[in-house]
Formats: sequence, C-alpha cells, structure tokens
Amino acid sequence: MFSNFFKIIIPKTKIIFIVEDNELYAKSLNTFIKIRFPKIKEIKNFRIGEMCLMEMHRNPRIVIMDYFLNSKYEEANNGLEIIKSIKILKPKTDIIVLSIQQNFNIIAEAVKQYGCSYVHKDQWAFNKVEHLIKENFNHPTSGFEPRA
Amino acid sequence: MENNESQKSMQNACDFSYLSEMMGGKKNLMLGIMDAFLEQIPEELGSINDAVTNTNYPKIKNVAHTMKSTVSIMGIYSLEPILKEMEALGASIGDIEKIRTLNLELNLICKKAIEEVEKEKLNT
Repeated sequence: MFSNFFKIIIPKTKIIFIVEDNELYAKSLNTFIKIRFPKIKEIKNFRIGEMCLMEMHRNPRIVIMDYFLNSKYEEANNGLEIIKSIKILKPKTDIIVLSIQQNFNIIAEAVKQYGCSYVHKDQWAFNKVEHLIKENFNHPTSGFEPRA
Repeated sequence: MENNESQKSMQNACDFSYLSEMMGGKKNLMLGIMDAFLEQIPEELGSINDAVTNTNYPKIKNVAHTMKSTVSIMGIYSLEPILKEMEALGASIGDIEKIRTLNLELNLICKKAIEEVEKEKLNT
C-alpha cells in the first residue's frame, strides 16, 4: 500500500528525444519505447538535429539519433555535428546513434569518441535500443531528477 | 528456373512478424504504423522515380538510403540488397541502366508490399 502511494506521487520526469528524418522509423521507434517504458514522461521526435538542439534545455535523459540526418533535408547538419553540439550543451546526455550504413564500423568508431553508443539499424535494432535505455535507467548515477 | 521464378512471385513481400513483435501485438498500434507506411512509401517511390528519370545521382543515393529504414519496418527483406546497390551506384555515379533495372524491381516489390499491407490492415 505504501509503495502504491509513492507510485502515485512520483512524477514522470524522464524525457527521450528521437532525431530521425524517416518519419515512419521515428514513429515506430517512439511507439516501441512507449510500450516498453510506459513510465517515461515524454518521447519527442525531431526531423532534424537543429530542432532537437533548441530543446536541449529540457534535459532529455537520452537522445536517440540517426547518423545521416541530411539524406532528406540536405541543409541539415549530419549526426556527428549534432553530437558535438549536444555534448557541448549537455555533456552528460546519453546519445544512442543509429545508422543503416554499410561501413558502420567507421561510424561506430567516430561516435564512440564522443561517448555515444552505436546501434546498427537491423532487425535487432529496437531491442538493442531497449537494452541501452534500461542500462541508462539502472545506472547508479541516474535518479528521477533530470541531469544538468 | 520457371518454377523458381513463380515461387519467388508467390512469396510475400512483407514479413509482419517484426512489426507485430515490436508493437507488442497491439493491433491499433500496428494499424497506425501501417497507415504511416502507406502514406510514406508512395512519396519515396515518387522521389526515387523522379531521381532515376532525371539521372540525379545524389538524390538516388539519398532516397535509397532513407527507403532502407522504411522497408525494414515492414520486414521487406528482399528490398535490402536492391536499395543497398542503388545507394552504392548513386554514390559512385554508377551505371544508370543498372539503376533503372533495379528501380523497376523496387517498384514491383513495393507495389506488392502496398497490396499486402492493405490486405493485412483488413485482417488486423
């Protein structure tokens, strides 16, 4: 009964941003995360990284982003530029980088330099993202308070 | 050979098991994703057809790249090598005739996939 009481009053504070120019993929991933993590306060999709940067003040716990963000919007910055900007604005934000590129080892190495996780967009991608989110939520330094 | 071809054309373009698993078997959520697919895939096909007609290599590369993610959601695995090759040919300013042939195949499989998704929607 006591635990139920706390369940009611603890506010949902975790926010996840998804930066993906493929709307279908973004919608599918968003829905998948909502199903697996119903206690997340908000999962917001952005089509370009620049829009996500404008809302980084909201302290998303995790940013999940496609590496090639300028395939549809040619003037948009690519993933690496956005990663650098996120790390300047909010260094503690966990970033999961998605890509379907064949030469994914090169990208994986590039993003790891910035402390990002890399997930190849294959049939296990959503499950890998789920695992990484769980790891983030279970991390000892993680709390219900958004990180600066 | 003929048998193989007819067997190939009998095979389904889509594998809905991935979508079902990802959506936790929830039919209303699956329908939402199917609707988004039915909206998005004709736009992407239109873009890549235009790009092939105009021999616009960068656009062929970019649209083929985007479509790889789109088709993965509906489990259209037969399109993965086709799109991969189109993307590579677009990047290397490769053989346009080869791209046209691949594009024909892409259109045929997408048409079949659209029919299957529409049918699946009625059964879901």
